[in-house]
Formats: sequence, C-alpha cells, structure tokens
Amino acid sequence: MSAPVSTTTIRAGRLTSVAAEGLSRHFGRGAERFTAVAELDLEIPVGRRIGIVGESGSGKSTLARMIAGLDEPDEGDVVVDGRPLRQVLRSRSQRVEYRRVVQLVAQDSMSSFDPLRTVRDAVRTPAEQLCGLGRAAADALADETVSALGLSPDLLDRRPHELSGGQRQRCSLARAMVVQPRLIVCDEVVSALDVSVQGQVLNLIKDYCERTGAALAFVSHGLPATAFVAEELVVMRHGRIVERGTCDEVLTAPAHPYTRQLVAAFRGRGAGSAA
Amino acid sequence: MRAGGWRWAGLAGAGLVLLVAAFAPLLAPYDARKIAGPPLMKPSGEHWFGTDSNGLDVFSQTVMATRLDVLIAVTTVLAATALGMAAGLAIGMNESGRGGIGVLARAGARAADFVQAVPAVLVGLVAVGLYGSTPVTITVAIVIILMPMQARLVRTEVLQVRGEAYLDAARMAGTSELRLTVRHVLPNVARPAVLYMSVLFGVSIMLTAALGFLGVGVAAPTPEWGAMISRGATDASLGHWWPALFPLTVLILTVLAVTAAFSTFQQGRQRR
Amino acid sequence: MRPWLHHNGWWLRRLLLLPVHLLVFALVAFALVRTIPGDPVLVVTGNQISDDQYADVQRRLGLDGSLAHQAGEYFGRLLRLDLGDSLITGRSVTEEFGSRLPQTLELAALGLSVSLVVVLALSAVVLLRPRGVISRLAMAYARSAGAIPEFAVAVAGIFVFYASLHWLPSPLGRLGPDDPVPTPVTRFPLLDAVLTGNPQVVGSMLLHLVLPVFAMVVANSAVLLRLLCSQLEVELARPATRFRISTGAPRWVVLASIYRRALPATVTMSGTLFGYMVGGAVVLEGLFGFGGMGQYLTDAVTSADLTALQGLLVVIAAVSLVVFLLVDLINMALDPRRRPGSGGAA
Repeated sequence: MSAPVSTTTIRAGRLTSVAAEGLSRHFGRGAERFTAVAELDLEIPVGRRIGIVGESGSGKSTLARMIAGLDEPDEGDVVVDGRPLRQVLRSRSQRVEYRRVVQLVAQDSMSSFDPLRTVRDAVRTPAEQLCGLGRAAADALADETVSALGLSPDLLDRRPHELSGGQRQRCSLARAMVVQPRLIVCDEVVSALDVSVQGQVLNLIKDYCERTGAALAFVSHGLPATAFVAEELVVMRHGRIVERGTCDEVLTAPAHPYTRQLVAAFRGRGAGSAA
Repeated sequence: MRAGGWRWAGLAGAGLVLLVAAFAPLLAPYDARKIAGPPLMKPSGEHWFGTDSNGLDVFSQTVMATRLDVLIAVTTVLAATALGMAAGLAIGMNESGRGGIGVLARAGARAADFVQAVPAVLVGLVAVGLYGSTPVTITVAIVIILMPMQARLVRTEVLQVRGEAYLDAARMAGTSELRLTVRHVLPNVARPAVLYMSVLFGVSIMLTAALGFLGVGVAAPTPEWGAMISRGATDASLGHWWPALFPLTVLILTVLAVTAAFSTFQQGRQRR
Repeated sequence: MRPWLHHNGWWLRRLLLLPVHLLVFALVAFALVRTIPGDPVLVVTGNQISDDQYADVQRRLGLDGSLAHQAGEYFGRLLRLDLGDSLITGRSVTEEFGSRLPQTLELAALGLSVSLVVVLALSAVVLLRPRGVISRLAMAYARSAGAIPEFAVAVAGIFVFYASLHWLPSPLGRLGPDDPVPTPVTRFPLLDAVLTGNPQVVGSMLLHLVLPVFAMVVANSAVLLRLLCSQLEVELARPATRFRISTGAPRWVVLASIYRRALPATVTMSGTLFGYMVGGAVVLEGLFGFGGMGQYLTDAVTSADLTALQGLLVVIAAVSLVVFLLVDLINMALDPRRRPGSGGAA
C-alpha cells in the first residue's frame, strides 16, 4: 500500500521566459489608496533560483500572486514567452498550460487546504485538471510525489487538520510539484513553521529545483532562509526593487541602505539559523 | 439537560407534523369541506376539536390545513434556499470584481439588504392581487420573499471564505471558477443557510396564514390555518374559543417543533 | 463649500439616490401590472361589457395606446404624485393612501417603539442577572422567535380580555361609540387626538390600542431580543470590555459601552422590524376595525383593483426605501467606517 509504484510519467511543460514589465497594483480607493507594487520590472531567469526579500507590506506577496496569475495587475503585465499573461489566462487551454508550468505554494498550509476535503483531493486535482490524467493515474502520481517528499501516502487520506504543520506544508509542495512545474513561486512557505521543519522544507524545494532544473521565485521576509535556497537575491521595498544581485554580492557588498540594514540584522542573528 | 429535552421534543414534534401532513386524508374523520354536524358544537368524542359556525369539523379541517400549509412551507423553503444559495454565491464571488459583473453583484448585494426592510405581507398581497389567490401564486410569492434572506446570509459567508488560500490553491490546480464555487465554496458556506431554513419555515407558515387570515389566501373552502383562525376570531369574540384555538395552537407548535428540531442539528454538528 | 461637500457627501449622495431607486420600483410596478395573466380590462370588469365601455376602462387603467405612451402618462402623473383613480371605488388612490397610510404607519411605529423599550429592558435583565427567572423566561421567549403570529395573539387576546374578562373595549374601531372623533390635522389618529387635547379621547384611543400593539410586540420582539442578546454576549466577552471591568469602571459605564457597540446591529434589525410591524398592522387593522391600509388592501385584492395595487407597490417601495435610508444613515453616522468612499472617489 505504501510503496509507490511508478505507473505514470508526465511530460514536463515548457517555459522559456517569465518577466514582470511595468507591473503596478493598487488597493483601496480615494485617500486610502495604497500602492502595493509600483512599476516593477523583474525578469525571472528560467532555471535559476531567485529570492525576493522585503519587509511585510513591501508588495512581494502581491508580486508573487500576480506572477502566478491569481491577481490582475492594474498597469503593466507579466510577460510569459513573449505574451502578456492577461491574454494567456483568458483562453482556457493556455491557462491550463500556464498553471502546468508555473505553480504557487502559499504561506498558510492550514488554510490552503479545503477543511472539508481530504488532502488527496487537493494533491491529485492538479494532475487531473492540468495534465488530463484519470482518477487512478492521478492518485498514483500523488502517492509517488508525496513519497518523494518523504511522507507516507497514507497521510493523503486525512483531512488537513489531522496533519502537522510540516506535513501539511510538504503536501502543499506535493500539490505544486505533482505537475512538474518549471517555475515554483513560494510565498513565505516556511515563515509559519518551526525552525527544525523549516530546514527540511527548504531542502526539499532546493532539491526539486536542482534535480529538475526548474526555476524558483522564493518570496520571504527572512533573509537567512532566502539566502539558503536562492542563487540570486532581489530586495523589495515600498513596491519597488531596491537591489538585485547574486547572493554573494548582496550579502557581502550591499549597495542600498535598506539592504545594508537587512544584511546587518542577518549577520547579527547568525547566518546558519535556517540551514 | 433541559435544552436536550427541548431538542428531542422538537424532533419528535417535527416528525409528527410531517406524518400528519403526509397522511392527512387518512386521519381526517370527516370531509373538511362538507358540513359534519350542527354549528359551534363544543369539542366532544364525536368532534374532537368541535365544529365551527358552519358546522364543519374543526379537527378534520386542522389536519387538512396542516397538509396544505406544511406543503407550501417545505416547498418554499427548499426552493428559496436553493435559489438564495445560488444568488448569494454569485453575488459574493463577484462582488469585488471589476467591470459589469462586479457592478451587478454589488447592486444585487444592496438589493438583498434593501428587501429586509420591505413588509413581506404587502408583497404577498400585491402578488395575490395581481396573479390570483392560488397556492401556486402564494408559493412563488413566498419564494421571492424568502430568497433574498438566504442570499444575504450566504453572501456574508462567501465574503468570509472568499479570501481563503484553498480557493487560490484550487485555482492553481486548474479548477474552473464554477467548479471551484460548487466544490469548495458551497460546502463551506452552506451550514448557516441550512440552519436558517428553520427561520424561513416559520416565516413561510406565517405569511401563508397571514394571507389566509386577511381573506386573500388560498381560496375557500380549501382548509388553511390562517383562514380558519380568521373565521374563528369572530366566534372567539362571542366566547366560542375552539374554532380558532385549535388551528392556532397547531400552527404555533408546528413552527416551534421545526425550530427546535433544527437546533438539534446545530448542536449535533457542533459537537464534532 | 467644497470641504462641506467633502464631509457631507456620504449622506447627500445617499439621499439623492432615493428618487432614482423609487423610479426603478415605479418601473417595476408599471411592468408587473402588464404581466398579469389575462386581459386586465376583463379582469377588472368581468366579461360582459360593450366595446365603448372596454375602451373607456382601458383608458382609465392607463392601458391604451403604445407602451411608450402608457409609460409617459404613468410617469407624468407619478411626478404629480397622482397614482390614478380606482375603477372600483372611483376615488383617487393617492387620497386613499394619504388618509390611510398614516394610520398604519402610526400603529407600526407604536409597535416598534414599545418593542424596542421591552427588548432593551429585557436584554439588560438578561445581561445583569443571566440566571434569574425573568432572564430564563426572556430567553425561552427569544427562542420562540418567529413562531407566534400577531393575529394569533390578537385573537387570543380578544377572547380573554374582551369576550371573557371585559377588561378591554370591543375590537370595533379606534374609539368607543360615544367618543367624539378628533379633527384630522396630521392624519395620524393618536397624534390628532393628543393635539385636540381631550384626555377622554386620548385615553379611549390608548385603551383600544392596547391589544393590537401588545399582539405586534409579542409576535415580533423575539427576533430582536435574540439578536441583541447574542450581540451583547459577544461584546461582553471582548477584551476591551474585560479591560474596562478590570479597571473598576462603574457598572453603568460598562453597560453603556457594551450597548453602544451593539447599536448598529440593533438599528439594522429595527429597520427590518418596522417592516414586520407594518405587515402586522395591515393584518390586524381589519380584526380591530381600524380604518388603515388593511381593509382597503384586502378589498383591492379581492376586487382586483389594479390601479390601487399598482399604487400600493410604489407606496411600499417608498416607505421601505425611506426606512432603509434611515437605517443606513444612522449607521453611517454611528460608524464612519461604513461611509462609502470618504475620500471622494465614487
């Protein structure tokens, strides 16, 4: 029962480029109008792992949601393989294809599972809906993916509240990885977890990307965790990018004063806490 | 402990009401539309609830009226809940949307709020006046009155659920908005609406009876609680209490039983 | 001027929308009358009429000519507050409503006021002595919400207090047979009686109002009581209240703050309750021989008086819209967060 039998292999999708171009998003109106993301340009190099750091309210989660196609920008757009995402999402077949290659893992693993349904339902749905697998094949693939993440497939038949936080977040990863995406957007995926579990989850994400060559956009307010998984760092503040560079560059020679603060705090706490 | 007794009494009562409604023709000893004895006889072994001023058997009328009133109530509550859920889901999911659908949804939300201030009896009166006092007109009118109540409730629930991450997760999984609404939103918002059905049941019974009481409900001689109470009121002011008291008591007990029965459901679900 | 508009825009905009909304409902009324099954002219007159009569009735119903012509006539008259003349009674519908609506609204307002007082008092008892006898009874009553129709209470009341005990006057009007009828000034009967200053008339009128108002209050207060009690319970459990209590604030200060926060829900509920009360008043007026909307409406329904029904729809909409507006404005005044777009954008 627990030994996963590899019965299904799915073809990985294709993705050559993802870039935000002049992306803006405002919330509220009138005096309460708040700009979360302001005319932001960001290319996500396919095959690289980038970390997006910033304090809460810096617009990084909004950016992540817009890249994943869950929120629509007010101005500008995300450009995917040369086409605006707005246009891609409008057509059902292209939307499915996009979801197939770009997956989002959300912060709160508790609320990202329907409390009334089993975890299995959540993990196999992408395989069914996006890859067109039948129920049995999708189930088998779900089992296999969960096993690869070091969980017993039996856990899949439980409800979300019956799992621990770490188990749930790994199931969240499984849900994204089951379709073998080329870009995984992680929105604060380890912030709510215990430090010991954080390390496991970060390793699983990093392993997946290294093994499959998938890109990663790792959004977090924690510099240590981000620096651990990412090769490149993007620092955001007030909806804009204030600094960008490889991990080494940003950590050793931060240019922007805000980045300097972040790095100073990082060094103060000790760089190893997440790894 | 006391509350427990109340709930079980409610379940038993509601079951009894449904049984009476289902088997009314077998239970009624006389034809409810035909004269069964001398007028205004006190309750006796022969006429359990007495006879009214026309000599009709009050027990038979009450039993047959239960069938009609409960049938209308059950139909309207089910239809209003189904339609109200659909409307509430549609409004709640689209309310903050951009463009025409968003505007329409926001207007719908305001309209559902507004309907709360409209006197339901008057809406019923107009409906009956324009389309005739048939059970169908009354049923449709009551559904129109009740539907916004459910829509409003469901909408409020949807607004709470709408931001949940599991909806975004389902979207990422390629679930269409319609499928998402049916599979993930509806089950998570349905509970309050289902419990609220007991309130709707009461309102529905009251409206049917109020129209009957005003003399514009389901046309005589079809037995109906409100109409019976209305005719009995004249007798009551002359000291003959039974033609009004029995239908009145049965009406109140029916609504109380259904309310109590639903509270069992509520407690039962909460214990889990 | 501009800052004044800026600060008061929220209620001004809301007020200006009222006629727009009313127009929508007038349109609905116009459309509904044209959707009734069968030929309206025959519905009103029965079948036996000549062609001349037919054309005449059709014209008087406002159903002659093209739809655009009909609509033009209808809205033109509506702007002059003319709802047409009833074909059945021959009287102006506007005048009928003008003399009857105040009576019904007064009865409903009395019911609402008494209900609010009773509910506030009971809820305070429940809050202060939750284990007392009164509280237990009040909660049992609250649980019965929606199970007791006003006409049931009224019929029982007539039987007990009039037919059996003779404590209350006969349910045959607002006044006893020997009481002088007060001159109509405001058309609100009780208000007129007070204005004439005859204590005997006022007393008699109040005595006649006891049963109907009692019935309306008993039938409709439970919903509000239940809502208020659960709301108060929530407010009582809030950290802010706990903090206030722990600082040793006097009891009434704590009570006042709890009630103030439960107020918006109560105001909203009162709006709904007023709707119930109007409905209740209409149902009871016939039973007590009051000459309000009740009898007129049932007559209009049984005689298929289309003009009156069409007018009724507009009047219902107008009354409900005003109540809805008041509820909104009061709540917006109480809680600025409810004001839409305080920054100026629509």
